[in-house]
Amino acid sequence: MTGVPDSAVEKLADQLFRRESGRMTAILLGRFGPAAVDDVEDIVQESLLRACRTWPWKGIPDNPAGWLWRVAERLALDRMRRSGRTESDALLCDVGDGRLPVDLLVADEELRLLFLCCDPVNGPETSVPLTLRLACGFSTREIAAALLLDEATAAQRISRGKARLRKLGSVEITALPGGDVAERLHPVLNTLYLLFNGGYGGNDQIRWIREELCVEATRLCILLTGHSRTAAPEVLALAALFHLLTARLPARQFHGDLVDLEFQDRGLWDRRLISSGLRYLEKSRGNAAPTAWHLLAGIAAEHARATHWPDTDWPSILAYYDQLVVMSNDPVVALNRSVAVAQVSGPAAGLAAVPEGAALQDYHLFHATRARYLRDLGRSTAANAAIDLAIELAPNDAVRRHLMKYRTPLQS
Amino acid sequence: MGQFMLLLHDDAKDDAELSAAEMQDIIARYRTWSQKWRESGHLTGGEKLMDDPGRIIRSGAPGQGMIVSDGPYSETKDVIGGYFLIIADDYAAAEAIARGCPHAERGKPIEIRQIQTMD
Repeated sequence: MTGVPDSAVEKLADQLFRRESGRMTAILLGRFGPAAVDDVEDIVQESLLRACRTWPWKGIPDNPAGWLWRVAERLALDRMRRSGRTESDALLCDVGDGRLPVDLLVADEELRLLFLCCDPVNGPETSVPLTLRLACGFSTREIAAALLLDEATAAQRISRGKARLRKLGSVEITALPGGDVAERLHPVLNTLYLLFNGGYGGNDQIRWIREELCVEATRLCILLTGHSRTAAPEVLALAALFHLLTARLPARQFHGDLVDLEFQDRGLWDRRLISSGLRYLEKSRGNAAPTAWHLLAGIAAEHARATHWPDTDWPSILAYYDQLVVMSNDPVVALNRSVAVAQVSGPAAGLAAVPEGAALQDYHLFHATRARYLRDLGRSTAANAAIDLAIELAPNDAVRRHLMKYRTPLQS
Repeated sequence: MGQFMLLLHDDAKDDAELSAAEMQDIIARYRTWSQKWRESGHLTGGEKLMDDPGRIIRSGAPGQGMIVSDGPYSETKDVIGGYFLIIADDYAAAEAIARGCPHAERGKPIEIRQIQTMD
């Protein structure tokens, strides 16, 4: 365990059901194996449901988690008996009652479940919803809302993921050779990053559920930092990135409207998360070359350190982006780099640094970023044409409204 | 002033698809509601009934004695899932309390019956 207290983790106390759902799924899957995933999901759902149907009358028990685990244990035993198995040592109560070193045991099982969901056979379009479902206790409807999918598509991806899961053996992290852990960590970190990003995209209508994604991604990442086999430098860097970005969440919206980093009230940033983030970043520096996560966290740290937008250390940020562009070959990274170029060398240089080609033609921020440079260069007509394209491509109303503000009134 | 019974008509199947977060939210809402009315002295009791059809006994054909069968609800979706006992001035006041119950807020029916007294 990291021992770093932070508000994202404290917030989880409010989400007991979700957390216990993930933990019970992890433990039961560990016991019965991935092939029993449907049974496990039924048991977990039934346990929560019984609480939902009795606690309103009987009151909330002193040890709510223990109560849930006891019911799950009984249901698991029933099911084993019905399927002709005689094992009687389900032992779930011991976990819920705190008679076993809960955190260590459960954390191991949760990590195993995370590795299972993010198995290399799954692409991100499967691993993200599957992780949300099994490790984070989200319903199909909530997953669809959070990932901006329709429910049928979300359901399809989850069941595809579960079908693959049934064929996989359990992952023993401690039994994996060092190189294999590193290799398997890769898709896990990508999944967590996508999970986090899903929450970071602005949409005020379902804001709470999307912020939950950031909290869940951060929680799972902290879990990885707590295990000696998985606490790799890039994991610490990703934890740093999540903490630093989550710190800015309170300032990202004002009365339902998105606020650009430039105009955010930095007094609203969560200082505690920032210092946790900076600590993780410090710990992540090793002898090996920095990973993309290190560079992204480095950029977030520069923003976190600047008291005002004009104080931002743009040359440092540009240096990070220069490395990132080489490493990732991603046009979105090149686009973001152009912002740092513009801050260091002016809008003409920024415009010249915007990546060419068809890859970003459908990306609203490509046009919005160009519009900004064009406006700063005094080319209002071209700027408005670009912003109109951005508005047309905006993924939701909050973004659309936000972009409207960047239309310059033309002199008539 | 009278004593009223709130009979919560329910179908357990409605809840099968609830998410973890939704279930936790429902429990929290019940807690707020029952705490409020218990502290004010209006809510005096209640029990959850088992989610099974129960039993019913009735007299059979002449000479056959009593027949025991599954409860009247086994064929229908409508089950009395539980009840609350409350004290209220009249039906209108009882309705006001029932209206705020999470059960009603979730669109499930609550039957309100006044308990007959001696006088």
